[in-house]
Amino acid sequence: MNPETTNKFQKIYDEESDAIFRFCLTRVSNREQSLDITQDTFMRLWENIIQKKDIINYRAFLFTIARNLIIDWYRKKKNISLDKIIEEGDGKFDLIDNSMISNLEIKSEGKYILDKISELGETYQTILYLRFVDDLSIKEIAEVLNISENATSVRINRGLEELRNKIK
Amino acid sequence: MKNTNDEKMNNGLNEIKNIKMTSSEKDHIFQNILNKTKPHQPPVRSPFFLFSFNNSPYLKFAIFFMVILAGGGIIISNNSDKKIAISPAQNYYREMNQANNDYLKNQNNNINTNNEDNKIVTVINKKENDNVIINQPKLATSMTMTSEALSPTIIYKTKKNYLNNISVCYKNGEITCFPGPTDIINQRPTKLANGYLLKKMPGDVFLGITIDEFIKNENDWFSFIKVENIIDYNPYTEIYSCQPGLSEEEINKIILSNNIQNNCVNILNQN
Repeated sequence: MNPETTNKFQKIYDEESDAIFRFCLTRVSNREQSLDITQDTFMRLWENIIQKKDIINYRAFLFTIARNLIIDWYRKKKNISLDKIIEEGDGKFDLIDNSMISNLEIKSEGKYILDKISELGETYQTILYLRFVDDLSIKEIAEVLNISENATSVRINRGLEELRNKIK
Repeated sequence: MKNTNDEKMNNGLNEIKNIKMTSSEKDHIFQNILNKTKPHQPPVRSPFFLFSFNNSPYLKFAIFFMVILAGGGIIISNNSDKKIAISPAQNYYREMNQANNDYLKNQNNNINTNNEDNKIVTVINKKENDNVIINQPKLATSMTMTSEALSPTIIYKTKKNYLNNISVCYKNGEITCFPGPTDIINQRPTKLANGYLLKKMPGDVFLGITIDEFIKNENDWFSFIKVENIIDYNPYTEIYSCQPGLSEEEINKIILSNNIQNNCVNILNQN
């Protein structure tokens, strides 16, 4: 393998792997599963890099892949019928897992904030998480969630307002 | 987020950001990704790409070659009074037959068999002017003689006694060929002079499975063909490729007269 390609991948891996793992861990029910999804996510990136495919934004690409893999995992795990998936939409599956928060190895304030984010509506949860925990730009979030930048911006402001009210 | 001035929220977010993989988990995943990946292979090009009308340069070449080939065929048939135009495949088989014919003729000369009753005649081409006649010893079919003529005689010695072990071909971490349970009965190596063995089974490495075990488990024999069952990757101390079609008696003569180096090729380093 070309060392330049490996170095490029390693740099992205070092920078983003923790964020992707964290994103997965707060959404699936166990650490092992989160590691598996993280590995699969970076495997996709690696395949794209060695095939010399153009990826404009690696962060957005990684979060999009991770989100899709989480949705796939939920579909398999919960054995939900196709009708129900169509009825409820895919968005419900990549939300923060409430049952997981108490098991996370973080301090009380972190658990508290995560708990409050999970209480927000589906529209705001992932957006606020990506913006304030993983520091994704509005453009990157729009790309991950496949919505316009304008809609992203509006949802961030409204979600933040709602979060503030909950914390008070 | 600066505008919120909410220390509690900032602290909470910072705590969430501290969720990380351990360094061993991180390294493990990274190594997994690098090891799992197969080298990218370019897609296989369609054999009909030349005829694609979307690609005009190829089309021009295709037409050019078609004209040349057609013209070439006409020239061959015109210039030959006695011969007919032949395809490359026909030409190949004709050359093969000629080679076999020469080889068999030499063999027959060596054993001085001049008796016409001891030969059969095979006509390869039905055209009268183009007959190829092969003289073969009686009771041997054309197919048998051809295959014997083409496969070299392999004799070898091993570090340990693998007389009853299965041998398989091993290449790039995989088993690429192995004997079948029905054929293997006739593939036991034959003992020759000075401890040499005559190779009849394919393969360059030995499994820890004996031929008898292999035959006994006729329903489960395939489970034996595993890389884990290989017990010796470099089993040979000597291995030679000799001229095809040698009988055991002839090989023994060569061995006993210390003429292996003159009559055979040492292929130990090639394995």
